Amino acid sequence: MEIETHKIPNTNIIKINFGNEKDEDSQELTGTIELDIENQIQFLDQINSLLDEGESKIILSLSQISYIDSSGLWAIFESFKKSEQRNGKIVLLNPRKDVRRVLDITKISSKIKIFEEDESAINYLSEE
Amino acid sequence: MLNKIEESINQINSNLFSKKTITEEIFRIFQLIFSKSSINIYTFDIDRKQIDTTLSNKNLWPIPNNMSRWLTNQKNIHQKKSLYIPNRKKFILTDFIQYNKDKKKYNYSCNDGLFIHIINEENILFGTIFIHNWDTKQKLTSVYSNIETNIKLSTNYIQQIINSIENYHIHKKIESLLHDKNKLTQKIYQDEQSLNQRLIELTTLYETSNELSHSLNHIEIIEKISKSINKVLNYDSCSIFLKKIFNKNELFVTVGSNFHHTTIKLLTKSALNSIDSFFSTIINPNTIDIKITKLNKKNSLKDKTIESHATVPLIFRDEIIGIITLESFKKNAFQKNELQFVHTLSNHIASTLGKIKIIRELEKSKIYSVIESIIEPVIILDQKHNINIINPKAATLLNIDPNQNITQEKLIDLLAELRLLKLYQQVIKTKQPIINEHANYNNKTFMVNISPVINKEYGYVGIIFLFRDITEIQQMDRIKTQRLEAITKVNLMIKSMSNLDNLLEVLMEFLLNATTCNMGSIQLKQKDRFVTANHSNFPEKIRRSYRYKNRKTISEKVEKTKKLILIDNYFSSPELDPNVKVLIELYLCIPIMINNELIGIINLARKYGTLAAKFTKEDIDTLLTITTLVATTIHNSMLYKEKVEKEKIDQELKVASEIHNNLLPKNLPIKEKLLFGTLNIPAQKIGGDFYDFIELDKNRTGIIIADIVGKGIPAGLYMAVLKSIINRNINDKQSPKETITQLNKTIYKDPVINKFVPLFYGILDSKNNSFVYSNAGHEPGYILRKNKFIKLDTKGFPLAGYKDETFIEKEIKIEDNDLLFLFTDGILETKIANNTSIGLNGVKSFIQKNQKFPPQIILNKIKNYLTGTENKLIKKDDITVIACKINQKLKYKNQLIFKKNIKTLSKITEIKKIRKEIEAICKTTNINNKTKLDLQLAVNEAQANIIEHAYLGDPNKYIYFYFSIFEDKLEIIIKDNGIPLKSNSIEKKISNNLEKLEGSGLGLFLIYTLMDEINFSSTKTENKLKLVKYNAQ
Repeated sequence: MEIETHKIPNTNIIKINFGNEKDEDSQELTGTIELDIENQIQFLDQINSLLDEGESKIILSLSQISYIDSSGLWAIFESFKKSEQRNGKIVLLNPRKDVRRVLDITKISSKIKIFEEDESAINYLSEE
Repeated sequence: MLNKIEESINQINSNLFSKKTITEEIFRIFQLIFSKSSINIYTFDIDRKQIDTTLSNKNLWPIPNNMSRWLTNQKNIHQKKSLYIPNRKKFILTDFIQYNKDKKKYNYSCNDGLFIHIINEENILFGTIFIHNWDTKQKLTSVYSNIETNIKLSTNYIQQIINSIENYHIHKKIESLLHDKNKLTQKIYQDEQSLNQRLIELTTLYETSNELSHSLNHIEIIEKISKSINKVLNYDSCSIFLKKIFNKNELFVTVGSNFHHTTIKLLTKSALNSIDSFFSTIINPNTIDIKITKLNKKNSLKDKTIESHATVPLIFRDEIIGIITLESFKKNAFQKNELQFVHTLSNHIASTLGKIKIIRELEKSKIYSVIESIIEPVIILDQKHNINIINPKAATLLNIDPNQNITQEKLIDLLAELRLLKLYQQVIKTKQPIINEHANYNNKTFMVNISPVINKEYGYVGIIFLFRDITEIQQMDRIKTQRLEAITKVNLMIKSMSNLDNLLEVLMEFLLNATTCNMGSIQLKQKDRFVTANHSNFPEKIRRSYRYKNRKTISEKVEKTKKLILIDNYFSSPELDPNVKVLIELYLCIPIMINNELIGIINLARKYGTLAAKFTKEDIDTLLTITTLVATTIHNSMLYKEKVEKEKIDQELKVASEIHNNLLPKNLPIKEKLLFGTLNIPAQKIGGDFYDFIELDKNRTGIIIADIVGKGIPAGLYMAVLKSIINRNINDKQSPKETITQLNKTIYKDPVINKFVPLFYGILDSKNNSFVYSNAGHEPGYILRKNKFIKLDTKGFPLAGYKDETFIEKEIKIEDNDLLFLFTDGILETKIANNTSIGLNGVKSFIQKNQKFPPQIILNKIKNYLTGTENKLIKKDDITVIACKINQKLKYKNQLIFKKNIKTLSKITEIKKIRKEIEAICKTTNINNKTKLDLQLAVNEAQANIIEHAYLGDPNKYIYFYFSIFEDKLEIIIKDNGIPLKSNSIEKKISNNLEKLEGSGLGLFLIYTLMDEINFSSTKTENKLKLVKYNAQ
């Protein structure tokens, strides 16, 4: 799992992208990943270090996540709780249909905001 | 003259003359030199700066003060050897008072004068010589032709002898210094002596008062004082007498260690003699405790007469509380200042002792008030076996007058009588307390604790006796034992009885024995009356004769008051009716209560003249206890009787229920294209709903559902009859309408069934794809087709309504995926959340929501929904539902399409592997993407749980996966050989509460949500999870 974070220009919002591998030339992430028991810790570590650095407004771009299990859900929810404790916010962006369904079944979608487009997610986080 | 001067000089210088001699010699010479004049010599005391000797040939001229001051001022270093004053009037130092006096006296015309100073080279003036000639009224200058020569002669002379004068002075000074030194040494010695004495006194005083303030033990204090005084002054005996400060007169005598006892006696006697004079009352020497202490010093043994005697009173608050007597065999042994010290010390002693007395009294009164307030008797004895404190309770107990002194003998006798004397002695000896000793006195029993009283300040002070009157407790114990025996007996008795009549009989006998009564009865409540259930010589007729004058029986009064009544003497109670069948003296009536409810009454009576003890409160308590015990048993026996009857009914019901169950079809029909499901929840143990499937031929299935009004045994009975009637009247030739008409006629005439029977009958033809049905007043049936419900109903009155009722039948073509369902009205009234009925719409929408499932699964889900924890089912009516799914593809049930078994290690990395595996299987078997994802997720979660919980993370174990794909469903069995897990523990863990996401709860929640059927079983060696997902394609 490759994780790439970048700051949305002119904001204090961090966007996190996931991918299978990093293109050597463009440095862009490609491929899909499965967020499960195997990489949940890596995921959580990444978010935690961001939160520890003081970043508190985070967009998790889920478009490249093709599969999520309860461990992955737990990792997302833990990050969310932690950000809230620091008066921050984590939102989810553009999950795939299957992932969205799991988020709905587990009612995570009622706790964490999910956006389809970057702009609305940024607007939501900027309002705070 | 010059010779004479020379001679004088030699004389003076070669001898050491006294000042007087030298002065006289100087005077003699000056008389030679100034032969015609008045000569006045003044010698000075150099140290004191004043004139000490004078000599004059006429009247001495008093040298004026200012003049003498000027001259004796040794700092005036500019003195000349001589001073001639030609005119005193003009001389600066002239004292005019003296001048005028002189003028008057001498009446002189001249006023000159000459001073020749006795002065050395350092200008120290030892004296001066004043020369004048006022008597002759001539100036010196006129008397002596050349006065300068005379002056020179005299000054030379002085110069020649000045050394001797000086020497003399030095000598004198040395002499005086020596003298002073001796004096000083002597003085210093004296001072030192007195200082030492003073120091000892002060130190002693300081130490003593310090010690006095620190100790509360007066004996210790007296000892210290005696020693202290000894430090300051030498006595042969120091006796301190204390007048009843601490309860008694005490005399502390301190003497030298080597004194013979006769000597001590002498000293003591003398001390005793000195006491009386200080006190107004006579003190009997026999009442004085005398304590002799020997000092650590030896006194002279020679003298045998007391020569010195000093007595200092100890005064506290203007009252003499004691005296200090000091005695010595030496004369004048005590100095005034030493006695002063004793006096000072005595003030300290007096105030300290007074203070201790007050503190002790306070403490004693404190202790006393504490002890007085102790309910239990307490006595404190002091070291001398006197009663120190006795509280009123103890005084009463031991018949002691607390205000009167009790003699030691009497006390010892008392202790002996209590058998405590030895223990008392033991405690004194060991200083260890003895507790919980039994003692008897005056028919009473006590528990006694004897403890030494040891105080931090005073050490061992005495013994405390604490008595506890346990007479009553012992008595109570005895009674308790008796009662316990009785209760045990009753308990045993009632345990061995299960039959109520037997129990009452034995109880009656026991009660008569226990109370020494001759007659008795036990009444028990039956409905609203109390009926005599058992009696001994006490039938109701006799019992009822014991009554109050208002005609109410004693038993009736107990019935009303629910309180025990004891009549000790029947005929002496004026409110009772004396007109009785049998003469009695005692009547006891005890209510039998259970939870405040009166269930029976015990009557006991004792015939007149029976020899028996009186009833005590304890006896009654015992009886009440027994009654309470028995009450439960009687109640239980009564209930048991009822229970036996009820069990009979239950047994009947059980049989009926079994019959009922047997009346319903055990297996669902297996038909091509058709899939059935049924649900039956009886409201009571036996229900009134009936359904059946009748296989008319290969393609046609008859479905019948009926609801007999009523529940329980009668309904079941009707059902059995109905079933036999149906069986007799149904055949494959008849249409539903014909069958129903025929059933109506039969049931109408049936002698057993006297109720209406709503009934729905339909024939499902899978060949012609049709459903023909007829309804006799039953709930209509429904077909769910393409998300819409089609109602299946025909008009008609329930069976047994009208003899000639005409019924109608209808036909509906069935289509693929139609879902037919029939139900009795019970389900519609079933309460769900908010106490509302589920209703027809509720049922419909539930079916609609779950239509994709096989019929039996739908019905299982309904059952769970209705009986689940959230919707507590109120079983008002039977619930019966029949469902049938039409599936054209369905040829054979459970046709296996695909099968694969996989074994993996219990590693987390294997999870992904299985995911890929499922992906592949689904691709092969053409399973849609959504189902595939559900499967992946469910299986993965199960796999993760096994690794974590069954194998506790051990990666070297195996997990087995068995995939079976059927026409209508997917089945995955996952097995492991890990820790056996209880299925209910899994259900408990299921959670979709996001706050509790930790652990396996969410995973289990996903499994249960995504799969249609979950079945978990566990043995000692294997956990097995079966997951089923329907409608795979």
